Amino acid sequence: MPSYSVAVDVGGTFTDIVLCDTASNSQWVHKTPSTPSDPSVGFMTGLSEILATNGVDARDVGHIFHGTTIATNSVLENRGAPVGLLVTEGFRYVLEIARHGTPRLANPNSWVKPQRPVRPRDCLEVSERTAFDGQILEPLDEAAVRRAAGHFAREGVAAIAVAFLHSYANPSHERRAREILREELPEVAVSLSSEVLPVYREYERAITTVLNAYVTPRVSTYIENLQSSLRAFGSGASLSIMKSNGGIIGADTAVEQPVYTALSGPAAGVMATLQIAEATGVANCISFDMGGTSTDVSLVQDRLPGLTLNGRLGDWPVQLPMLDIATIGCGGGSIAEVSPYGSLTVGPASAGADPGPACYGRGSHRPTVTDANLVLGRVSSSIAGGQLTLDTEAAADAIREAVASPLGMDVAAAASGVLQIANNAMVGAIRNISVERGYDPREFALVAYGGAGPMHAIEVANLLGVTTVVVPPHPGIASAYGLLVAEFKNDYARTSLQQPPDYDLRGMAEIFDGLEREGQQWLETEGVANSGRMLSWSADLRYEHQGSELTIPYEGTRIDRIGLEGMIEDFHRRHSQLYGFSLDQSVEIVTLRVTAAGQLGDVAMPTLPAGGGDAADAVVDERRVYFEEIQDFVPCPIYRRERLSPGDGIGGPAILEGMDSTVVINPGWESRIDQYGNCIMRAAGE
Amino acid sequence: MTISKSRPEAHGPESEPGQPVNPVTRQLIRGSLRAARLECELIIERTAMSAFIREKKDYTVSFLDAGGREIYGDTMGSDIMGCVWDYYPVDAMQPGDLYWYNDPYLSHGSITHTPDMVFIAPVFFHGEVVAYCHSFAHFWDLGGSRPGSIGPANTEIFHDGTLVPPIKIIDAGNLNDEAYRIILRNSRYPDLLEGDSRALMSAANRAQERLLEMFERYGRDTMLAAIAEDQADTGRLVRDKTLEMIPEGEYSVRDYMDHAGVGEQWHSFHIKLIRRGDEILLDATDSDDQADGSINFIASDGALKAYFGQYFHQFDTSLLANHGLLAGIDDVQLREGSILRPEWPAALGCRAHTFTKLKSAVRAVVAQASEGQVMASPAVYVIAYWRMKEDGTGNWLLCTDGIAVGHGARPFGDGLDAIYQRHNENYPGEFMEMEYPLRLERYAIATDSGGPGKYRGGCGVIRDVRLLSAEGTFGLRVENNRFPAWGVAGGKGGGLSRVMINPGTPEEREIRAFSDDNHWKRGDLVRICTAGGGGWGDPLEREAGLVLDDVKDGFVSLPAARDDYGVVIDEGAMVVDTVATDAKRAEIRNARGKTGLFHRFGYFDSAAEELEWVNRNIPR
Repeated sequence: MPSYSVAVDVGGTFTDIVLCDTASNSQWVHKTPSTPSDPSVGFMTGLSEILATNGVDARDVGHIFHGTTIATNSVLENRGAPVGLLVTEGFRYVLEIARHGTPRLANPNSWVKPQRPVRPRDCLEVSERTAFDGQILEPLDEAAVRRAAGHFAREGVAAIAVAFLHSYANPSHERRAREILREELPEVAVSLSSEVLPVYREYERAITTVLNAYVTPRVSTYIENLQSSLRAFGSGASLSIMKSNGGIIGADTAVEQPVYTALSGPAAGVMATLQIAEATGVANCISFDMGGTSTDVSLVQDRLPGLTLNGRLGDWPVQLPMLDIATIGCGGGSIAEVSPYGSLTVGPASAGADPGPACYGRGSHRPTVTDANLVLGRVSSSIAGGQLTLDTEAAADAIREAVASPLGMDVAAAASGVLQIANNAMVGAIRNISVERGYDPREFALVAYGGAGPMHAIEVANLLGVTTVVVPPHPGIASAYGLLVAEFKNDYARTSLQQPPDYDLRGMAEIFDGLEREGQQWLETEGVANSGRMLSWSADLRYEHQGSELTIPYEGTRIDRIGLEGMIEDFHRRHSQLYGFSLDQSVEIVTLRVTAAGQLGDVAMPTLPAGGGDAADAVVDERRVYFEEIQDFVPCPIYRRERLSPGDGIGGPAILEGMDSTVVINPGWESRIDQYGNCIMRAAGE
Repeated sequence: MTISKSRPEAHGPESEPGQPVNPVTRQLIRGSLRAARLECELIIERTAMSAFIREKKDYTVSFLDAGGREIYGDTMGSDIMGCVWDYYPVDAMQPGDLYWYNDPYLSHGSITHTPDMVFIAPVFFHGEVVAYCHSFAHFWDLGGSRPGSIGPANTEIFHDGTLVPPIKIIDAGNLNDEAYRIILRNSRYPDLLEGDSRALMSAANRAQERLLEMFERYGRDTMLAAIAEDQADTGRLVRDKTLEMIPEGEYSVRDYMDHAGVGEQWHSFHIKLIRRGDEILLDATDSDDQADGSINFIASDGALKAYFGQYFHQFDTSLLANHGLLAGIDDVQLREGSILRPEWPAALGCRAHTFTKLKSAVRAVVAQASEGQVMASPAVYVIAYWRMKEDGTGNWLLCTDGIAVGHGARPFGDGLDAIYQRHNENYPGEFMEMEYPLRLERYAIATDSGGPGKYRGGCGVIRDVRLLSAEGTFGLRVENNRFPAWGVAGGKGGGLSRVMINPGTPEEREIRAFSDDNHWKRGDLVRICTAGGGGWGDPLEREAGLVLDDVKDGFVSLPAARDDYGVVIDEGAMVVDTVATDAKRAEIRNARGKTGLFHRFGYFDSAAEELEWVNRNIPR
C-alpha cells in the first residue's frame, strides 16, 4: 500500500514540493527552479529529487496533488488555442459588447478595450431559441451548425465554445450542436456553456465557456505529458489538480473543465491558511500572501474560506465559485516614485524578478519596497541561505535619488515612508474585502506567508487593529502545504427562476436531485468512499428586481416548505448582516447549487520536539534596524528560524531569518513558537 | 440679458493650511480616502435595490471639507452644501444628522435632474463640523409623469418627478419617519425607493465614520492642512496644464441637440474660452434660449470649470480629483434663461444630451489649441423606457434599458465600441427576459456607425426588443439622430442613430428617436440602432490591413471600406487589392480637397463656419 503523498506547486520562479509519509505524518520540503517553457520538466525534476534525497521509491507514492498556473498563464499571456464560438442568432457580438462597461476608475481618454479571445469573424450564429423556463421556442438549425463546422475547419480552430441563450434551463440544443460538431470535427474539443457554467447572464456564461475552450488544448497536452512522464518514472500515483474553489479534482476532470483551475496556486495558499488556523485554534483569519509583484488576501470565517461568484481572470469575469481572493498590485518589487506634482506612490509598476529591485544590482536604479526593507536593516544583505547578496548602497542611492531628495527627507524616513504607503494600500484592500462580507477585520488573526508577507504582517496588523499574527514554518512554500490538506470538491449549479408565492417544490427537488447525482457520480470516479462523501445544497436568492443574489445554504437534502422557509429566513438575516438592512419583500430563488466534497483522510501538520524554552541559542547576529514606531534605528537581535524550537518566546524588536523569508517582530509584540513550528505573535497586553 | 453669478461654486470657509504636512502622511491620507470611497461605494452597489444602481452603477461617494469644497470624489464642481446651509446652518447641525435632497433649482444645479438623490452626513470631530460626506445615486422612480419619472415628453420640472428640498431625513440618529413616508408614498415602486435610499444612507454614514477615524488618527490640524494642500496641488496641476496647453486667444465651440423632445427645433449651446495673459474666462452666454422640452441643463460655474479640470487631471492621476479641478478657469459667464441656465420650472430630465456634448466641447477647445490632439466626440448614451402591462395582474412594469453607443477615436487608437458611458453596465438579455415580458432578439454591432478616420470612431449597437404582453408603451432617449458626433484632425463624424418598429415587415415604420408614449402591442419589435463616435485623423491614412480586419469582423462594410477609407477589397479572397486601393485613395484625395480640423456633415475649422452651414441646411 503506497503510503506517501506528494504536493507539487509550480510558481513563476520556483516549483515547491512537499513529501508526506501519511503513515508517520512526517513531511519534507524541497524547492527547484521552475521551467516555464514546459513546467512538467521542473515538476518531474523536483519529484525525483525529493524522492531520491529521502530514499523513497516512486511506487510508494499513492497520490500527487498539483497546483498549476497553465490555465491562468494561457489567458494572461494570450497564449490559448484558436477558438470558435457558436451562439444563438442575433448574438454574434456577445463578447464584443460584453456588459458595456469600462473599469470604474478608467480614464475614457486612454483606456483600451482588451482584445477578446475570439474575434467576431469566428463567432457564428445559428437559428435556435430556448426560453428562460426551458421551453423550446425555435428548433436548432442543424444545417447551420454543420456550415459553422465547415468555417471552423477552414479557420483551423482547435476548440469550440457553444453558448446559446438560456441553455442553463434546457441544454438540449447545446448538446445536439456538440454531437454534430463532433461528427464533423472529431479532433476539436467542444465546451458547452450549459456544462461549464449553467447560470444565467449570457455574456458571463459565454466568456467563461470561451476561456474554457481557449485553455483546453494546452491544459490537456500538459496533463497528458505529465501522466506519461509519471508512468515512465514508474509511478502509479493518482494525479489531482487544485481548483479555484480550494478543492481538488482528478486530472481527467481537470482536462474537461480546465477553466476551473484558474486560481490553483493562490487557492492552495488559502487552504494552507485553513490548516494553520485549525492547528493554532484561530477560527477567523485573514490570509496575507505578499510576493514580488502583488499581494493576495482572503478571509476565513469560522474555519470556512470565503467563496465568490464574481471572480476575474485577467480582463475577464469568470463566474465560477472561486475562493474570494483579492489581489493588490503591491509587493516586494513594487516601485516607489514621486509624481510631477510631488505625491509619493508605491506600485503598481513593478521591477519584477528581472531586473528586480535596485539592490539586486542587475541594472535597475528604481527603488522598490525590498530596497526600503534592506536600507532599514529589516532584511539581511545575504538572503536565500547566502545564495543571493543584496547591495545596500545601491538601494540607499536609489531611494535617495528617487524619493528622499525630491521630497527633502532623509533616506531612512523616505524608506520608512515607502513601507508605510505599501502597508496602507494593503489595509485598504483588506478592509474592503471584509466590508464586502460584512465582517470587522479586528476580530481576525493575520496568517502571513509569501516571500515578503512575514516582514510586513505586524505593521499591517497594527493598522487594522489586529492583535494576532501567525507565520507558518515555511512561509515561502505555503501553497504546496495547502495542496496536501485540501479535499476533493466540485460544484454543480443550475439556474431555474422560482418566484413567490408558488415556488415549484417538485421542480426544485428534481434539479437538486439531478445535481446531487452528478456529484455522486463524480465522487465515484474519483474513488472517494461513501463514508468520506459530503453533499451540501445551497441556492442563490434575491429580492424581486434585485440584480444580484446571495448564496444561502439549504439545511438538509430534502426540499419541503419548512426547509424553504428556513432558507428564506437565513437570506433575510444574511442580507441584514452584509448590508445593514433586510426587507419585507418577496424573495426569488434563482440558481440551485450542490457541492460535492470528499476526503481522502486527514493530513495533520507534523509536530516538532519541544526545546529548552530559551531562544538565545538561536541568536546569530545583531544589527541596527529602523522601526517607524521609534523613528530610529535600534540594535536588534537576529535569530536563525530553523534553530528555534516549540516553546521558545521572543519579544520585539527582533528578526527571525529563515531559508525562504524573514519575520520582523516589532517593538510591543511578543512571539512564541508553537508545537508545529508556527511563529505566533501577539500585540503586548492582548 | 442677466448674467448669472448667483451661486458660483462651493463658498464656505476654506480649509486651514497649517504647517506643511509630511509627504508620507499626505500619501497615507490620500490612500485612506481612496479606500474609504471604494468601501462606501461597495456598500451602495451591493445593497441598493434597483437595477439602475446595481447593474448600471450610477452612484458615487464624495468627501467635502467644512466649506463644502471637494476633498475627494466625483461631485464635478457642484456646490453640494450651499442649499443645505440655506435651511440648516452649521450651528444647527448635530452628530448623527443626515440630509437629503434632489431639487435642481434650490440647489442651483448642484444636482441636475430629479432622479439624482443626494445624501449628506456632517463629520463632527470634538464638537466641530470638520467635513461632510456625500452619497449620490440615480433612483428608479419618484413621482413624475410616467413610470421612471423623467422622460422625453416632459415640459415642466413637475413632470420630472417629486422634488425633495433639503430635509433632515435623520435627526441626530432618529429617522424622520413622517417625511420618509411621504416620499415613499410618491413612488410607483416604493420598495425599490426604500431599498435604494437605505443603501445611500448607510453609505454616507459609513463614509462619515471612516473620515472621523482619519481625523482621530492624524489629528485635526494635520488633516485640514493635508486636505488644503491636496486641493492646492490638484489646482496647481490643472492651472499649469491649462496655461501650457491653451495659448492666448479665443476658442469657440458650438454643439447641437437634435430637438427638445417636443417640437422639431434644434438647440445649440456655445462656449467661448478666452485667454488674455494668464486670465482665463469661459463665456457661455451665446447659447440658445432654454428649450420647451427636457434637455435643459442647469450648468453651474463649478461644473463647467470642473469639466476642464477633469481633462487636465489625467496628466497626474496620483493627485486626487478634488476642488482643485476648478482652478483652470478664472470666471464663467452664463445667461439666465438660456439652455445652460434655464428658468424655473423648465424640465431637466434629459439634460444628458446637453451635458454629454458640453463635456466633449472641452476637448474641442483643446483641439483648437493642439491641432486636434484629443479624443473625438462620443455619441450620447441611450436609454429606452420599456413599459408593459403584465398579462394577468394588469400591473404596469418598467424596464429602464441603458444602451451603448460608439465613443470617439483617440490620437493613438480607435474609439471604444459599444460603451454606454464610462462604467455603466447593460442588462443581460437573460435578465430582461426573466424579469419582463420582453424578448431580446438581436444585440449586435451597428456596422459603419463608427466615424471613419486613421483611427476609427467606436461603433454603436443594434438592439431588437419584442413585446410579449398584450400592450405597452415606450419612451426613447436617443440623440444623434440629426447631428452626429464630430470627428477631429481629419477624422470624420460618426454615424446617426435610428429607431424602427417591425423592420422588414409591411408594418415597418420609423419612430422618432427622442420621443415618448409610443404604443406597441404583443409581437411588435422595436429596433434601436445607436450612433457611433467620431473618427480621428484622415481615413485615407488608415492602415489597409486594419480596414480589412474591420470588414471581416463586421465593423465596416465593403462599400464603406471603399468609399470612406479608399480601401478596395477582393471580395472572394478577402484580401486588400493594393493597386486598386492606391488608385482609389488618390482619387478621393483629389476630389475632396483639403480636410479640416473638425468634421460632421463636412470638414470645418471654426464654430462660426459650421453654424452657417447648419443654418443653411437644417432650418429650425
